[in-house]
Amino acid sequence: MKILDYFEEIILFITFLTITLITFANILSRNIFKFSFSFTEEITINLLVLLTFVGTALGVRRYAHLGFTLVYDLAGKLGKKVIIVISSIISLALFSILLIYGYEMVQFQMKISQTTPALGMPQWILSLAMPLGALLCLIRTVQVAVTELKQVNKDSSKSQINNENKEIKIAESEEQKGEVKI
Amino acid sequence: ACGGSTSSNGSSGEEKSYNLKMSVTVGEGSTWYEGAKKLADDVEKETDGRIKIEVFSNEQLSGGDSGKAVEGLAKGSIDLTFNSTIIYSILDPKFGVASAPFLFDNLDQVDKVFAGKGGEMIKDLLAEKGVHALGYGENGFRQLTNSKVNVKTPDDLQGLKIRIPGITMYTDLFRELGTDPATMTFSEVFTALQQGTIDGQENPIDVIYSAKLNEVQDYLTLWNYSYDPLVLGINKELYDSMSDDDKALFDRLGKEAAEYQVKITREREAEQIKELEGKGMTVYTPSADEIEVFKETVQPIYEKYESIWGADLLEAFQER
Amino acid sequence: MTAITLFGSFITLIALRVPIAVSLAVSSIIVLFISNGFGSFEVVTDIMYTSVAKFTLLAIPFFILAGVIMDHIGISKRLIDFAQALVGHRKGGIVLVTVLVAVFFAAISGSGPATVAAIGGILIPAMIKNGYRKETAGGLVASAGAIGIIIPPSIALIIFAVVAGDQIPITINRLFMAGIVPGILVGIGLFVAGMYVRNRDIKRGIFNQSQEMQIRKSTSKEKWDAFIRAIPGLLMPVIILGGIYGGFFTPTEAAVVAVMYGLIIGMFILRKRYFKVLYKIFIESAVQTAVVMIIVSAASVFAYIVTTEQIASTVSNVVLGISDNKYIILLLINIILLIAGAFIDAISAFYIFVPILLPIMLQLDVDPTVFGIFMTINLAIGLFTPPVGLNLYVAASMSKTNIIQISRGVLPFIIASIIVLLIVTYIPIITTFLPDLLGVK
Ligand code: NA
Ligand code: NA
Repeated sequence: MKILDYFEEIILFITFLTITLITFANILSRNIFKFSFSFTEEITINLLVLLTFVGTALGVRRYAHLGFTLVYDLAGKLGKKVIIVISSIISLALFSILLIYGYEMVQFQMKISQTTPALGMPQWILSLAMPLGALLCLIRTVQVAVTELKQVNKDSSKSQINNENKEIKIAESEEQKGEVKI
Repeated sequence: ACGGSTSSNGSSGEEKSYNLKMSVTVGEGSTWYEGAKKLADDVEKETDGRIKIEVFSNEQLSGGDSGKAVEGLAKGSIDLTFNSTIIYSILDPKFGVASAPFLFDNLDQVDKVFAGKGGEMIKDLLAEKGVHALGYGENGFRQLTNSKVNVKTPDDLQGLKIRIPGITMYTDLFRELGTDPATMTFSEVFTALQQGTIDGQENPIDVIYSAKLNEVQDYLTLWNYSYDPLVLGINKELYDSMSDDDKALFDRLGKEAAEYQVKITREREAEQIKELEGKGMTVYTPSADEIEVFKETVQPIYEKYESIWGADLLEAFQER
Repeated sequence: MTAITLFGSFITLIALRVPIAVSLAVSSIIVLFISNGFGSFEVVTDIMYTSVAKFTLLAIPFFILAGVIMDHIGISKRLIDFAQALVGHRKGGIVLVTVLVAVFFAAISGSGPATVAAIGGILIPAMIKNGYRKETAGGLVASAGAIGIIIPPSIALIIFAVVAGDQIPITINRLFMAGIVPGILVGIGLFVAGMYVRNRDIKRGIFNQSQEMQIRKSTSKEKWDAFIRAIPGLLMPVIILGGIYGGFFTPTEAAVVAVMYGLIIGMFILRKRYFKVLYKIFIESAVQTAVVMIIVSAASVFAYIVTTEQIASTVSNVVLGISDNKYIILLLINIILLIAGAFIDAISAFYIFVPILLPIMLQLDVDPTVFGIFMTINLAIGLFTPPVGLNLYVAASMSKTNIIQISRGVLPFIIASIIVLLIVTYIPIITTFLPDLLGVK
């Protein structure tokens, strides 16, 4: 899993940096050298898709995605387990659909040799972002579900001494990871 | 194969019933939408509701993206669309031939080519990509607006920042003309023109008019530099699966709807130009001699693209 | 029926702790499956792809990145020091400092919780030290942070422009300009509420006034030094807004220029630690971006269902059937949005409600700019209303309160913000006069 962490992080870092540099270089060239290569925007927006889906996978692992936890928090040990299993299955269903149909989309684009409008690049290469991201999301969802199920067992064995403190601790640890969301 | 639609056996014997989805690029006030609506109404009426077409504006069926709409039409997740051939060039660069620079002098030439061999060849090309063309509509000749200078010759264009569609041919062309072309998503164009991030843009009159570009642009040059045809397309697999009667019905009503769209586009365009002028735009129509200068300037484009478009296809489009 | 399936399954999934993005997509997929079977799932991937691959949305990662950079290189601390030096010694000065800094950081950051994170770490402890109760401190910072999405740059306003842009021409520039005055008004509302709480607590004897006087007045030299140190931060909004309205950049480009500016400033401030921090900044921003964009992606599928299944017209017929009085409908819509905002995030709310509500607004002749701004204020309030409020969670952990305590503490600020919300809703000129004055269309 360490390798997967690095894999995701490296993709995200390179992608984000590339988007930033291309966009900035474009402004410079337009304002200073009077030469616009804004046709590169089709690369940046496709990279944004890559950033989104790979980032989503890392976000799953970091518990960064927004959700409503009140029912879960109030549930007992068994209830928590049931909720973890059901919600994970639902997430897995979605990511499977994105993987399968994303792959079909890629195949179709290959078949009709669809290209990007400005650069004439094969669209399917860029579209791989979606099935790739979906695959990573699948792995991460399983990983997190297993971790959470273990955590529920551990917590209940220690008995719930101080719920209030625990809540704060969880919130703090999320804060430390810097997962601050809009 | 027709994902966005359901097809089930109708009550009246062998006749199948259809609920089809159609996408157009622009909004509900447009001639595109009206043409699509006419097709939907006519088909529903003539089949007593057996075949229904629901029309969606602003490419809502593909998340607002025209390229994705064309892809969806080709694979069958969208049943029918009205899309420009410029968009189709993501499937094959040959579609760009219809928009070749200063190819047509007037609409009579356009009509002749599309009714003749040129139209047939594009239709064959579409069929290869999984699209059956029911007819050709019209976005119109693309015209130039800008905030700096009344453009009459290529000299006037030097150094202007012009927003163009993100297609390689246009980029090459506007470089050849001496401008500094920029691609930009259309939703940002108004702002960019207003703030002076770019100086001008090019689009058919209807787009210029409905986006109220006259509020941020002073000059309009009616140079008819690039023709922009629309394809009224239906997914070919869906079309092929239909009964012969239904095929004939779609071919007839599709052609009528496309012709209707062309007719109202042309009627409106004349009024819209007048209105734009009334709102303070300087409208300039270059003379035949001036157009000749432009034509000579863009000759290198023909040299570069003849091999891409194919000599046969270009010849069919140059036939007069 | 379709509407009930869609919203019913969405709410059920949310209750089961399924992430909002997944809930949006899966409830849409359920409806798609019922009406078309498996054959239509390719629509899901198509729309999830294209809804993200949009140039206008590129501004979002850049504004997130700019905010994270500014926070990591200590710009927020410098801004706080400067505000403290100016007004910190007054009675209730820390309330004013908090609101001022929040308004100012809002002009750098495009997101609410990011604003809370940037300012809360220093200001919440400072307020508690000044004698305020911790839930008041947390509540004020949670609510003040929400100004981040009202004052430009704003991810929320970009999303509104994109979603509303399907129906009407509306520019990010106009929305950005329109958000300034209402955002400041919310700040004033929060300041008034904060002073009210302070005075109330003094009367009740639960406010330690002797602590408040510990901050002495700064000398001119101290003020000047604080100003100099705050300059890098103070310049940021000038670059962003000046760049956009001066015609140098589009909003997306302004965002990337802000990033570059932050990266260059960071090099001077962080020196040796720079590259290590840089990597962290990018990864953290990437995850934050993904959290936003995956909701954009999934919510677009939801909006597709709302459109293709004619849910929008069903709902609007119901709403317009209740009353034909514009003011009553506006009130009704605000109530619906406040309730929705209590449970879901702002971006989902835009994708779900704009396709439904915008046609109603146009029919009632409500200026779309005004609609965009009051809807944004509404959803900003949602950021600090329980049970689901991101700002609230962030501020609760910073103020070491639990969600129930902070919910009590934030109540006065919720009330104040709702009053401002109604003022902005019913007096459209507050929103429109600034963009109209400057001719921003
Ligand atoms: Na902001
Ligand atoms: Na809330």
